[in-house]
Amino acid sequence: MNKIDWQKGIKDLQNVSLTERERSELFVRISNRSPYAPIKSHWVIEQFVFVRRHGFVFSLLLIIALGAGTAFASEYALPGGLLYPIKINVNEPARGAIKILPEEKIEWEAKKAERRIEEAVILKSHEELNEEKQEKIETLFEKHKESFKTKSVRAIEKEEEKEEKKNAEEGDKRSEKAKKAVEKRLEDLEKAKKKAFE
Amino acid sequence: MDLDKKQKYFEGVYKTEVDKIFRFVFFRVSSREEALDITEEVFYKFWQVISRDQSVDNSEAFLFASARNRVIDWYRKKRPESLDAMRERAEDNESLPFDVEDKDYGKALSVSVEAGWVLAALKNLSPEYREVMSMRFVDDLAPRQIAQILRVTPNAVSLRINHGLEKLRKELGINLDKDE
Repeated sequence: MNKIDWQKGIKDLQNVSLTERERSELFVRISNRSPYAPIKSHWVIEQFVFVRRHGFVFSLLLIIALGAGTAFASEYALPGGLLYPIKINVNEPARGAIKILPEEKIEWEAKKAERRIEEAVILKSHEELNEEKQEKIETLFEKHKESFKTKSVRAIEKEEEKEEKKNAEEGDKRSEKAKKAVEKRLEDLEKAKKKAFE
Repeated sequence: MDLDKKQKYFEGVYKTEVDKIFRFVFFRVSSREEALDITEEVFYKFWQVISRDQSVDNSEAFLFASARNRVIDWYRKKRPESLDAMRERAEDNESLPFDVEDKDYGKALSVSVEAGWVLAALKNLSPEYREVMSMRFVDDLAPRQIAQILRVTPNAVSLRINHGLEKLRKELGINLDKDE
């Protein structure tokens, strides 16, 4: 090989490129992916090697950390995310189960509806609120809202029954007040939802 | 930077750099499909970084360094070797080889005979010189840029290029200077 061959070879190598189609398809593929997915660090592999060397200790720590870690991490999960089902099917029912007072349990239903609105707002700010995610959020929101309403009505009726036996007039006033408070809460939730999706 | 500006910036960098990155990866993995996948990952990571307002001082160096890391990962997955050996190799910052499994190198990559000769000549260099020489001549990167990507000093890069040129002259009789 002489110098001219070398120069031609280099030129030929530098002419290797993507086809127009490959270039545009690749661009579309990248654009369609969410830029907000967690960045995978190159160091993960090195860390993995280290973990393998200290396998036993890490296995033990992993078992302890995994449960708590997943639950904690899933608190920040959004619809479409891997941990989102854990958030709504494990974390939230577990948090609901530890509420002792009936009013706390009722309030937790409204809180869950608010959490769905927060998720919608975050997704919207990241421009990731597509039709599918919005539908999912709305379904869950309605479910929580209905649950809040049903549980509230049931609690008020129970109170009314108790009051009837004591002081009917006083009981009516209190139950009226409670009904208004529930209506107001439902109205606020609806307003927040409208604002989040507009 | 708002989202619109970020998208325009990304598009501009993509247009000017995508072929260079693809080429860089392609000659190292010898498979168009693998090279396309790796190129996608490299630009996706770049898109993630700029979307999060993280600063990138030199987008070209960032992309090449990212491509290099991904090709190293690709080699790790491809080669059945112990994890300890992998770690040691990473710690030694071993130079990145071309994928040299195909003997008929140029033909396998569908490039001209001369291009195949160049690749074969580079392949014959020791890994230390091969990577720098390839980045200098095939990828057309300046020593300063190569230094940034490899995280060594520009002087070290220039030294390796000189040694590489000397080897080519001695072994193949090709007299080249740094700018050829």
